[in-house]
Amino acid sequence: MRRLFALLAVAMMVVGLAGCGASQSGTQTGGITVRDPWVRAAMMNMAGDQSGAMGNMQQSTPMAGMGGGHSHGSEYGNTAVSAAYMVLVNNGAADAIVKAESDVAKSVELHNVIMENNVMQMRQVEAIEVPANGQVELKPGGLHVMLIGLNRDLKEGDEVVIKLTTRSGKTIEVKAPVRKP
Amino acid sequence: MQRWLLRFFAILAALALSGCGAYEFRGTMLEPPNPAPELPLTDQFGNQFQLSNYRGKIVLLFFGFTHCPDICPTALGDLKRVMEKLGSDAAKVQVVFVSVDPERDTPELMQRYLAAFNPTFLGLNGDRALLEKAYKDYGVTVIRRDLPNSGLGYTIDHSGYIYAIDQAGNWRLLWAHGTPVDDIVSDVQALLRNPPRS
Repeated sequence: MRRLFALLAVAMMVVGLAGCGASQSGTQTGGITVRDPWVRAAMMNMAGDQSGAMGNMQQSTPMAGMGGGHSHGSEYGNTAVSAAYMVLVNNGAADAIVKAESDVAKSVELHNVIMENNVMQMRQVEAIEVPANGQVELKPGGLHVMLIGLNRDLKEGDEVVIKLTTRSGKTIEVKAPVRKP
Repeated sequence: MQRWLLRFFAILAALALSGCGAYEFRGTMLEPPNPAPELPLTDQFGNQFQLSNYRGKIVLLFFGFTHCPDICPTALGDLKRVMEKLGSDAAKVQVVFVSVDPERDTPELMQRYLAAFNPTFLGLNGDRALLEKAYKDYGVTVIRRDLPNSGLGYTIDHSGYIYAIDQAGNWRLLWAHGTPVDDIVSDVQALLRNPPRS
């Protein structure tokens, strides 16, 4: 009976450890962990066009009724964008997310939205600060990880891997499910 | 017992009366309602748009851009849910998205972007002078900001209101960004119940 108990305890420990490993792949104990990540579903601009021929395409499909003012259009292309949201929980000393990477987009940036008199202003930020033993929520209408220039459609049920780098030099791998916009 | 019943009915009657007498809109009412300025723009399918073609319907208007990953999809997602909750009444409502980023909001991009929410949503773009008049007419702030270190190149600061134009073509209501979907649905249903005399 006692033996069975011990076995059970060991089994539970193994399960517990395995659980830990799986859910926080790449994270260190202490410091920032990620909870409830998700990415907004988004479509790429054009099916089958991944060759960077955006400039040509824009010229071949001029905007109906548009009178000039095209100078910046081709410069930035018709890139599709999306955003990732999550809760950053910090069990250690003050730290920050300083970089985000993902293979689903050409560039991945940290952004914030400020609302002033109901005017939304989106700005790039250098870092997302996470206070010691505190948490920061990345959510619609506020801080988010912006995915610019999607390589593929992000459909509901897909999973997007995002690698976050902290100021303290740790990397956190986040597996974020795609949800409807 | 009878007294209790009587009181109950009195309360019910009072509730009913207050309900039909004066529905209190959750959005901001525009008093007096004025004719909504025309939007002589082109939709994402290349068709000429005219507000005056939508008499008899309620038009819900939002100004935004497709490279906006956060606020605009949130507002459009809310409007998608409004349409779902309206059920068969959704046929009496047209959602219209006006571009604040005419250079990047090409018809193709608008088609894909809006179809992800609801294929009946219209996305308008057009001549810059006409767009700028529309922003001014509706009091929409549109400011282009360069983001020098961003892959985005630039972003557009813009107002986040949703506007309601009634069946007679009058601009009646506006809702601030983040207004609960149920509040918008309730206001739209109130407009549908009491169509303006025109």
